[in-house]
Amino acid sequence: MLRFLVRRLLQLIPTLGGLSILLFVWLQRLPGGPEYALLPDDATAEQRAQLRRSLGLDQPITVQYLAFLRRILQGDLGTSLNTGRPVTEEFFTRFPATFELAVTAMLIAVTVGVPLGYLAARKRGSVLDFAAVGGSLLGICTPVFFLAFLLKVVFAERLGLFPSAFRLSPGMSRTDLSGFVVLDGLRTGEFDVVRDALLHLALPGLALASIPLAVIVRMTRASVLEVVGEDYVRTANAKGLHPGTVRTRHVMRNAMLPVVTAIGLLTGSLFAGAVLTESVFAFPGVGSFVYAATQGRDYPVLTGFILLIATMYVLINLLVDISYSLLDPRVRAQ
Amino acid sequence: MGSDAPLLTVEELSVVFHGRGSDEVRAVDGVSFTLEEGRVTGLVGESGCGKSVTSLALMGLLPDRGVRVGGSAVMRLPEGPVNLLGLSARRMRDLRGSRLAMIFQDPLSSLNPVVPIGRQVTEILRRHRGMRGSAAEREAADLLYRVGIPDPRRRLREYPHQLSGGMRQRALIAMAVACRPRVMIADEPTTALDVTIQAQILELLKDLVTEEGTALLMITHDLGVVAGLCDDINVLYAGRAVERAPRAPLFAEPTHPYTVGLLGSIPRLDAPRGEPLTPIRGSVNDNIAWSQGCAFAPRCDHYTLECLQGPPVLAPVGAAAGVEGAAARTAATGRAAAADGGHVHRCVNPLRAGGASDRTAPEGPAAVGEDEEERG
Amino acid sequence: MPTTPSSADRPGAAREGTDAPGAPETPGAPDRNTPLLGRRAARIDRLAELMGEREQGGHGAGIWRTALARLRRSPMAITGAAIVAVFLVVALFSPLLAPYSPTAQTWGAEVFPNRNVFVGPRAENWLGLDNLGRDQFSRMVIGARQTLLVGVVATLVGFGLGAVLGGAAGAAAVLGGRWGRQVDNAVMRVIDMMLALPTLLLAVTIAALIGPSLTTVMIAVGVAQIPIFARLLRGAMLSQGGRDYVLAARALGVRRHRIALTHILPNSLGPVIVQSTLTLATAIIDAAALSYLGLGNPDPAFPEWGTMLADAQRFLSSAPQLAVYPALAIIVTALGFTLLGEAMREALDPKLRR
Repeated sequence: MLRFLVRRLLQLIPTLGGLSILLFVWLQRLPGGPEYALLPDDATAEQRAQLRRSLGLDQPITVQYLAFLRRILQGDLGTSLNTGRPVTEEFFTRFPATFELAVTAMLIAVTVGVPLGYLAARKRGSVLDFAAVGGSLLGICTPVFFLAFLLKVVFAERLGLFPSAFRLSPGMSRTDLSGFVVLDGLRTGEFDVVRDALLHLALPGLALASIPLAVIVRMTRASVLEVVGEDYVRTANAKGLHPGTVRTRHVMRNAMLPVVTAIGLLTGSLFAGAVLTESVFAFPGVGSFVYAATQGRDYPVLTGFILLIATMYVLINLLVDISYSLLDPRVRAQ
Repeated sequence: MGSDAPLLTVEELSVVFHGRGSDEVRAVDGVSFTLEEGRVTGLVGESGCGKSVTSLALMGLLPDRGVRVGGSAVMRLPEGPVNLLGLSARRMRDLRGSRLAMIFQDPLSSLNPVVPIGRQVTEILRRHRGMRGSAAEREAADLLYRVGIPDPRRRLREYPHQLSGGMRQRALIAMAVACRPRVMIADEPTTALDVTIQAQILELLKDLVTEEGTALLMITHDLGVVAGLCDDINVLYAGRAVERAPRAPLFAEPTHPYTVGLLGSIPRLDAPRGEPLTPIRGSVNDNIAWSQGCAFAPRCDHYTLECLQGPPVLAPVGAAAGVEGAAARTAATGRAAAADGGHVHRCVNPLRAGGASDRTAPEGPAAVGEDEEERG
Repeated sequence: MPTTPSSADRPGAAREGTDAPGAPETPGAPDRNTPLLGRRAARIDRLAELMGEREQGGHGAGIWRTALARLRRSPMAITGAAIVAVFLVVALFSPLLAPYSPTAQTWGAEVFPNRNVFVGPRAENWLGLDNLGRDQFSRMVIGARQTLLVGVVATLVGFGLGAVLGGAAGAAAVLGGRWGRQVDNAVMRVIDMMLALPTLLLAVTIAALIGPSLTTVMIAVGVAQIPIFARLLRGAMLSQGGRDYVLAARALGVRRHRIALTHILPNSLGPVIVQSTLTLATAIIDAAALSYLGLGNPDPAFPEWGTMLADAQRFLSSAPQLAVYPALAIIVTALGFTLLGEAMREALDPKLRR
């Protein structure tokens, strides 16, 4: 197991290394060059020249790349042009909100998607199956930001069932331990804060969950359909096992393998989707910050976000690999 | 042995698949046979002749939708005879694994790849014998040991991919015999295995039958297996039995051209050097509907116009066989003969008894360059 | 290898050769088994007749033909194809169909967004007016053409570059030996890196390089699709490369690039073609998201559904129809392409083909 982990970690190095090269090239190609990305627009020529020297832009390209790499590894992603504060700091303060949102969305997607996909497969050709497949296709085809707006207008503005913006109601006082509102509330026992935070998470969570939900329903359905036809399920039935045992131990344990992989890939795209969703609900996370950055060409923020997403992706896939190897003994044996 | 009544009596079993939008397919078309304690009954035929579907129908493992099962399969149980085909799903589940068990063809795909062997053995003990925890584990290890798996304690913790093919099939057999079933169905249990392992597995099955008095239904296309193991043999073609006999008469005096063809297509050590094998030409798909005539006619070297006039009936060897309607009486005699364990066939124009030696004489190598039968 | 008799008289023909080796093809050759010639002909005819009955609807058709036959029976495919057909007709003939100019603010005096005065559907403007007093229906119809353009160009970019990358990697891996496998490895590492970035983010970064425009959207969305196409084609080629016919071609001494181009590639294109249909849908949706992010076409003279939808969000509470029309158009069109693509994938899936 340890060897498996080490091998997986080593395999990540070329991916991240390559990505840093891509990013470096991207920054070089940006209008105005890399120093533009690190200085505010109104910087003087002297400041620029000084920066070029201090950044080593007069040095050979490989030296520049190594310097770039060193800065990234030290967590220096530059300064946001919009707020004037270090990008790393901005991300750190906003990350908990986005994390809570992403977890909410994934929880909705998994808890609804897996059972729905299973039922659709077992009742293939039924009205339920038709609705599940049709609904998930519709979910994939609906632009996320439009769905977010629709939810906001209908459930928040028209029906008033949910708050339409922000993470907490204005005036809600809370003890800040870590920036994770729900977690803090649970730890300090401020359940009114938890309730308020969950209400604020509901609509953006639902909007963000739409695509993962659709994908998980379809993947689970396809996977279950394939597994129920397998010989070992027939063997399990030939043993006279209870349908519940066959379902959990023999069908679902195998059917979930590809779904787990899909969940990993989807979590990465959740953070990108958060850019759209958070901006609609004025949710104070990384997403709405990056949305502002796309509007204002705030390149340091964009660079930092790409690195953040790529790191998340890599970490999540590591987690997926680990859980996969726990679920499937054949992978461990390789 | 034990009792005079057979353990399982299958009468006129038929299975019809009717998929959405497609035509009906009669996979099994009126098959009758009996299973008796301590005896091995063989179902023999090429793939696609309905052998496996027959076994799945008896086990109640066919899908709920799109399938129609007819006929009856009466099993003698301590609490009285029951028709397996008419039982509720719940009753059938109680019987499966405890009273009747099945061994499947491909041991790798028949074992759950992500569940340890031990768990897969104990779950049946838990289900039918109410065993829990370490007791179940001890019994599972004992079962694995009995089917010839060395170091069973260690094997219990391993996964199917860590076992060899023969070992996997032994594990499957251990699961099948876990509750000492009265009836066991083995569906091509040796096809996916090496020849040496095949012999070991067959030996194991034979021992189980003699020791436990289990009735074994052996499904195979391998006549070597049949010759070594089966007491009674049913030869199936296109969903119907074409010949039925105890082992000795079937091998000594096959009468149906299909049986003769099957026997002719296996290599023999005592054959003169250079004598070509004589495969049955065409494939199992080259047939006609039984309602029109003999389904085997398109591949038969001996068919006559009578073969194509209507469905031939099962008749005792030696009696005048005819087509249905013209000889309903012969059908009745045929069934009676079957019950006696006699030699019956379904052929209007059978080969002479004892014609095994000159079975292909009139034709020579019938089908050089034709597709050989697809096996497996 | 025919599994059903391709000619109904085959059993007879086979007997012809074996019965009378001295005189093949001679129907009148002496027959030891059945002395009566008429009887024999009769039974062969009877057999042919009976087997002919079973042959109808048999196999023998290629996978594309069977796939087409399955598609024609699939309600999913029919619905998808119908939607796509309507969309294509509207997009191609939009100048003829649009009653007014999409840019003329003819009724500008009737609409006051800041006072919440909008004009809904009426006789001369079927879908009402937009926030600047332009005919919404004309803008929708013209927008179909722009949307189609974005979808097609983006898909072509993704398909083209992805196929080149994936095809090169696949061909190198199958035919290039050890050196080829290294090429494959290197290319796939790059592809994996691109996969590590969500499509949308990739598109945003590209758009950041070249500024907001319709071209940006097309290139950004297209480039973001490259890794999917590349992986798909490479995977298909690897699986084809292991087949016997490739081995046979190599054994016959066919040149390697010829094997790749004339044998492996055509047989690997199925999944890629299916993916293009699905990508058209993704491209239309992603283009809308990019427009929402302000990276889309800033030129109002060329309305595009994504831009229209993004612009209309501001009025969603007061004039929801302005957003709902383009949104519905995007959803239905994307759904059409998705249904068609999914139905094609199912029809071509060997696991589902029976």
